[in-house]
Amino acid sequence: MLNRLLTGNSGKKLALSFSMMLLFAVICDSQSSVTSFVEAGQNTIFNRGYFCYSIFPSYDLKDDSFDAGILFSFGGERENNFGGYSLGYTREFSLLNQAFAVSGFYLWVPFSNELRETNLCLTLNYNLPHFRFTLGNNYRTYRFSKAYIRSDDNPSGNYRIIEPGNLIYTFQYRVNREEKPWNLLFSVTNNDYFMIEQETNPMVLMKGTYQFKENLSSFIDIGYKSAGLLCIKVDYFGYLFRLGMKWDILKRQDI
Amino acid sequence: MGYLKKAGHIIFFATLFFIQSCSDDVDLSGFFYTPEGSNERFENSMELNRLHPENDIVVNSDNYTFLVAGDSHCGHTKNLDFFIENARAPEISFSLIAGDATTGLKNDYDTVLKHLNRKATLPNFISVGNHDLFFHGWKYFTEYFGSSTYTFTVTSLSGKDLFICLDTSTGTLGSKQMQWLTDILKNRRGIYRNCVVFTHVNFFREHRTQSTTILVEEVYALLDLFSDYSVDIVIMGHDHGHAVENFGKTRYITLDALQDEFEYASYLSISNQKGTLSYKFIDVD
Repeated sequence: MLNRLLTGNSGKKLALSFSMMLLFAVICDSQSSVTSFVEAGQNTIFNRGYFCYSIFPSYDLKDDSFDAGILFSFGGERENNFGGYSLGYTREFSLLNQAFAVSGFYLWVPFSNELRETNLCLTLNYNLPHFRFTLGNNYRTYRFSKAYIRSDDNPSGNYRIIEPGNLIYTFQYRVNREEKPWNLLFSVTNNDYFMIEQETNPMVLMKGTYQFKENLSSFIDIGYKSAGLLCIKVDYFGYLFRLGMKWDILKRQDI
Repeated sequence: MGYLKKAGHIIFFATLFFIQSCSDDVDLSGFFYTPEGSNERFENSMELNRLHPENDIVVNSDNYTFLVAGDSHCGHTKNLDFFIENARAPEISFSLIAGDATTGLKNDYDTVLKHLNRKATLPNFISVGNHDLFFHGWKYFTEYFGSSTYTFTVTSLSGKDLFICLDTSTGTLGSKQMQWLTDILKNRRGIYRNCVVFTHVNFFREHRTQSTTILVEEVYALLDLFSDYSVDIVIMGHDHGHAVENFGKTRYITLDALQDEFEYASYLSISNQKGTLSYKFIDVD
């Protein structure tokens, strides 16, 4: 399995992602952090369950932050275990004494040996003491891999489906203000770490966070996904559990 | 007092939903609850399939043509009658309806069946849509049309083709139907010349729309399956706006609505000329 991961096109992408993470690690000074999580869940496609592992290094410089993420997925009938990677940039700013942030990110998901999904996303976040609102757009493309296109005996040129812009949203309520060591957060959203659903397919997410130390916190997510909400015939799709940690690697007081 | 105000708001919206659910067109209880989930409907369909063996349509020529319509939302039957009348032409071998033939009410099922029986002499194959399930419509769908997940074959002088009808009426195939589809393609696709899949809910956002598509994880699995097993055509309805996407060896066609009030009502004619499939949309005037 590891051999499969490290060879071929996926292997190259993996190497590229690790290189980027290394680059982040090298350039990171006191503002670097790493978020990592394991996720288990069940859904219509992975009826007997699945398991994921992800790691997100990030680098914060005053109001700017950069992050990169990589996902490994296991379980069920899947052609590869490389679940995808992401690259993101966020800039925080204040307008009329209100806290806003604008984010841009890119997702690359190789969902089979020859098929890929890419997403370009732009969002605006508005943060209040107990609420967070995110609105934005994503532009999704399904396409065949370059290796498949090269090996196609009967080239048709039909290798890509580009969807028009889709609304991204998150409406989140926090029980406590961010300064408190623990919190409970309730969200309705159509986007997750490596997945952006159509606006009509929301997910309900409950998150618990706990700050062990100033530079170490953990979180638990429980998510429920339904299908067919705007078909007005809501049906079960799946659920997930996620356990993660965030480590601020070199906070000034630790040096 | 604050709690009373909140309770008042809840009662107001609950009443609003209750009143709206008395509408003849939309059953808003579906926002909260669907009595028959995808796996349950699939099991009902498999029971019906055991009672009614797979159809094989025999065509005594090399070529054949079939018609496909979706979203007639009867009640009104002007456009449906036009479709049925055209489906009776001698060169047409059978017809497909890709969901939402009715609004879920028993009267509408009665109407559609009467019109199909009165005017049609050829086989009709019907897929279930989300509107067909409104007002406990699943009971009527199985009673009037039978299974919502099934296969049938067409045997012409030039080859034998496989047709697969999928139930996506609640925006998902469900785990059991997904496994069934995988097994069908794995075990049977190789035997047949062409393979056509038809269903209701569309897979892609073809334009900015609030019409629900299947969840992305399911789209991944379906695109992969259809690519691996060289499915020729996937026909979908639901979006009420026609679109065609050619992706690898598979052509994904979304239909216009056949609904009477719909400005651009059309249906689809597909011809199989010795294994080569071609299509054209035919406007309903």
